[in-house]
Amino acid sequence: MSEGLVAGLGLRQPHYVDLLTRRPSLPFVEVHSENFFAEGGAALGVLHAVRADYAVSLHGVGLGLGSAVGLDEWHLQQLQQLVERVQPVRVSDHACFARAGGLHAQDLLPLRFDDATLNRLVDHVQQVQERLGRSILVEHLSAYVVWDGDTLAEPDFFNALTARSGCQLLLDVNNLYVNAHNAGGGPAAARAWMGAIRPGSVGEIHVAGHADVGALYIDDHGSPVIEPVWALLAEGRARFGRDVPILLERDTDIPPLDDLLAEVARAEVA
Amino acid sequence: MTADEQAALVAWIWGQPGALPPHGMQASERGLNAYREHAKALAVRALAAVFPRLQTWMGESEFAGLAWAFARTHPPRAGDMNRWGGELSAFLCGLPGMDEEPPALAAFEWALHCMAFAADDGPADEALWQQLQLTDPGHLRLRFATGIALHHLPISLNAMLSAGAEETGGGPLWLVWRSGWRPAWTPFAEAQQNVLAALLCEPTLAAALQAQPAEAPLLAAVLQQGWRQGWLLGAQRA
Repeated sequence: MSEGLVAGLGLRQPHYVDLLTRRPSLPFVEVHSENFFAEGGAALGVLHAVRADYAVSLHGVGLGLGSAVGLDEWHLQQLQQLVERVQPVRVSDHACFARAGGLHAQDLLPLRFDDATLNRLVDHVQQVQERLGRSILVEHLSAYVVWDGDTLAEPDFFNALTARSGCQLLLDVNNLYVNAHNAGGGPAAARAWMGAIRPGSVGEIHVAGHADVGALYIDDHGSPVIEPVWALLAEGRARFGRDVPILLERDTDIPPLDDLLAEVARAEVA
Repeated sequence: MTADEQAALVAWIWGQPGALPPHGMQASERGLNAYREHAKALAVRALAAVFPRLQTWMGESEFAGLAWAFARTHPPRAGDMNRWGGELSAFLCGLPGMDEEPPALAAFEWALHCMAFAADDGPADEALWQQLQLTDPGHLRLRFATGIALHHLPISLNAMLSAGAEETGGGPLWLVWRSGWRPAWTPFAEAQQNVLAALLCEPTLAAALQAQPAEAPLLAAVLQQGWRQGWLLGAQRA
């Protein structure tokens, strides 16, 4: 039923029952890995039920792949167990740090784009890939601060990451739009970023909404996708291939499932 | 970038004592505050999801203040936010002038929350009753539902806890367990608590009866209640 489709949906708790009851045609659904780190229980039970009908993509928000203190062994164990249970179509996380000073930031904190950080990220991505026995995707961030001392342009950083680690880039066109605006630029800067990414290295494209809080755009995944971001999606698909999977993300102010399915349908033809 | 640079930013975001805005970055105040505001909102949202009755008891505004105060002193240390909040009861106990209800309620709700991630129980086994008749109690151990525990709670919480409980009645003693995939709780007779505690702790049924000989006559009532309410699932050879 989903043959030929590429646009999937981020599945969140308010839609569990609706999705399992109606079973709309989708090529995959994405879930946040950390919400299913469990030995049993309802969440895992729902995920198994979903997996019976859908391909599942595991998208992590907690590995902190760029953390200088290294990866969390417990987190890796949990992820490995979940991957073995779910057999996901893709596994992804972010090019960020989160673990530092004994704390976990519970956020996706930006990295400095330099050789030392790149080396660490490559090493950590390879550790995860070896542990899981598969390649992963790594998403670039929307960031509200920038470290001093960058020596690499961000697209070059990710081109090197994918080439050296064997991972794929998870391209988020909303992140590009948010970053371009917050840096005082516009869609042209986002297009230039995409134009500098090596074709063939993108394994998935994310699209989402964001909040306009005045001086900053915040990547809160809490509103419908806006027209300029749809346009970036279309350009991304033209550059990286129309068979690259697309994900619609919505994490806050979650509307009825039909509203999101309408956006998924639009992503399919973007 | 160094571990110290990363630690400085995380410490500032979570409002750690003495943390200063980090150096070495091009950061507007709005940009930095975006991260801290996210942390504050996340702390409230995560704790409210685990402690909804505590939030109701305290009120949304006071609970939000509590959440950030707790986060600053007990920030998350792992990437799974579902595991954060277990120290809230102790934190509340340490606050000057704290009433007895909030810490007790926090411990109760944390117990319910933790059940959500435990391994699933096997089905109840009706052979239990035959085993009880035919097997030497020195070689038998009862099998209980995941998360079973007794909580002593102020009777001022009875009305709140009765909503959603398996049976009506009042505390101060409440039994919690996981029923299928959902947490369950019920008032529990104080007279039966010692025999249940022995059944939960001792390695065999015989040892439990020896530990509480005076209360052995209550055993049948406890077992029947457990079977009826679904927290006694069977027995296995010890």
